[in-house]
Amino acid sequence: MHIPDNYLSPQTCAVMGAIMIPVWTVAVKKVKEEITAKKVPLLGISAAFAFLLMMFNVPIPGGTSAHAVGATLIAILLGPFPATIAVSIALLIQALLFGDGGILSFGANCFNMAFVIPFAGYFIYTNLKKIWKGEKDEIVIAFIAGYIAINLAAMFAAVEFGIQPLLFKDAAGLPLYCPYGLSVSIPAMLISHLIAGIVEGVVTSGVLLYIRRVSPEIIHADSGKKTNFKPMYILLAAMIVLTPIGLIASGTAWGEWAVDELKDKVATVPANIEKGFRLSAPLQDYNLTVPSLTNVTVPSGVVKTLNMDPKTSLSDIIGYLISAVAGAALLLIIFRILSSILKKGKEPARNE
Amino acid sequence: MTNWLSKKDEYYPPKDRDLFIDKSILSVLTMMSGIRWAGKPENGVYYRINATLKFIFTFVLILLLSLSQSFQFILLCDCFIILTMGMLDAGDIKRTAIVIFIAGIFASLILLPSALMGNFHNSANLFLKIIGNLAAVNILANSTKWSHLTRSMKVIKLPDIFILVLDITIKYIFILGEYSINMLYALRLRSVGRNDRKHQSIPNLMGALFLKSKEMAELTYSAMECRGFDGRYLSSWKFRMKMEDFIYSGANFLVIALFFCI
Repeated sequence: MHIPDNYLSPQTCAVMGAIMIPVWTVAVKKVKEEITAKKVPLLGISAAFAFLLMMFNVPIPGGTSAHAVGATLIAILLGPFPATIAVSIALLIQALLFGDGGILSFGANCFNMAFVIPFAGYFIYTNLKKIWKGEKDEIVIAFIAGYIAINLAAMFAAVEFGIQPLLFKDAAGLPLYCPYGLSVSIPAMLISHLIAGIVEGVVTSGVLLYIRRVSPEIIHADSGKKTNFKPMYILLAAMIVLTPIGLIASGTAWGEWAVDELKDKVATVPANIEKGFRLSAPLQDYNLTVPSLTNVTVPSGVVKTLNMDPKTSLSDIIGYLISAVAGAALLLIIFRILSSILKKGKEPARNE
Repeated sequence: MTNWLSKKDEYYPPKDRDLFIDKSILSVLTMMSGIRWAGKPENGVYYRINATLKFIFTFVLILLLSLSQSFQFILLCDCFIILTMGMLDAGDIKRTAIVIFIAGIFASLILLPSALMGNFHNSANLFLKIIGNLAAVNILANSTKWSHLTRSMKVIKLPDIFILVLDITIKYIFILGEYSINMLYALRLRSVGRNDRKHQSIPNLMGALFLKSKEMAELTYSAMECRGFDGRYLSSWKFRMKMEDFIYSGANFLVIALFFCI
């Protein structure tokens, strides 16, 4: 569910980041109230735990394995506010140091995984616990909470993907970022998470069962009652309500994308010959240019045929420079790898 | 000595599948080696460039790459990134190249239907952006000491306490990573023959990891308090430009200028 950069527009990323800022601010404040201000290490170490949880592969039927996010689990164990911070930090380290999930889309990833999952999971868990009070029921409740929370987060991610072609198009009306609308993104994300959700549910309930058995006093349990979660739930509910409204507002585009995509596209392209011509041009040009280092003028042709901003055209000199630099860099890379292979025989390899 | 002791044992353990344990061990080990080896200054000039500069310029590059709709600029950015990649150590180049290759296949699979449906230009742009972006982040992470990287976040006005938490996280990812590797090895060693209940141990392993991290957090806090920690954390930040920093900044300013020109 880690959204990489560029699938979402920078504007969407900015909005998601802006939503997360008050969430983080409140979370830090609440954590300071809940876990005495000085207990900083707990935050860092639970973030490390959140990070490692995502590294464990859980076997799933069919011989493969999947990993859990574990945000519901951390919310149940530590409370939703510490979970938000712990998962956010884990996500930051993943994005910055492992390239897993984008830097710009960090806000969106945090919203889905560090806000929606812990709060939704914790909400479901605490409320179902009021109805089913048995000890065995708790395991089922934890499973349901984990399962629903991750599917809800997948739904949010799908909406974030799906609104891209509605909102961000070029002059020809073609999507600039994630090209698939809601009719594709929602089923794609939800169907995969209906299965992945099972792993999340099993991990949430399994770990909880183990901790209850080994060291029951550790679970956050009822301290949640003291804290007022209302503002967070209102924000979450508002987002759930507002998302469909946003979709209705862009009614025509929604209609356009809700129809079977392939049929829709095939119907549009021939209808507009001019557009069709523009579209076919880059394909030919692109194939011609990239392998050939001499024919550098063609990229500018791509832009000219596309009728974009005339300022974007590239001079031959820059084209040559780019090709030369790319060629030199690629040679350098090949040389480095070759020399490392040759060196291996002479000295012991780096212990990795 | 009893008879049965001298008899040859005819026990052949049935084959068992424990792919998930191997996969978990591998992912934790890969991650840990990343932490251990990242950013050794003796590996080359690029490793000696100031972490703060690298952090700022990588972020700006990613932002510009994401904002740009110009095929030329995206191509130029990608070339610039490939050039910086060429300055890395061979091992780091390989690591980065593998990530780019996998992400490239994944991105092209995702974007192929859209490209075939006529959105070729934007799909090609998007593909180049994704590749460039990922390469830039991986180059940054592979060529910079992570403690320097977290410290360099001071420039974006992150509170010191946040940097401290981040430092602790990275340290404990390593420590808890070692701990979980040992647990995974133990699980494998103790499963002689076919053990169908092995997969049930994974949640228990995670639970044990949680208890361990909780315990470690308390110990760390006590240790910090014993050493006079009072909740304030000041990270010092020295900044002196060297020759390679000037060249690196110059190149980046050129790319930024080109964003506005082409």
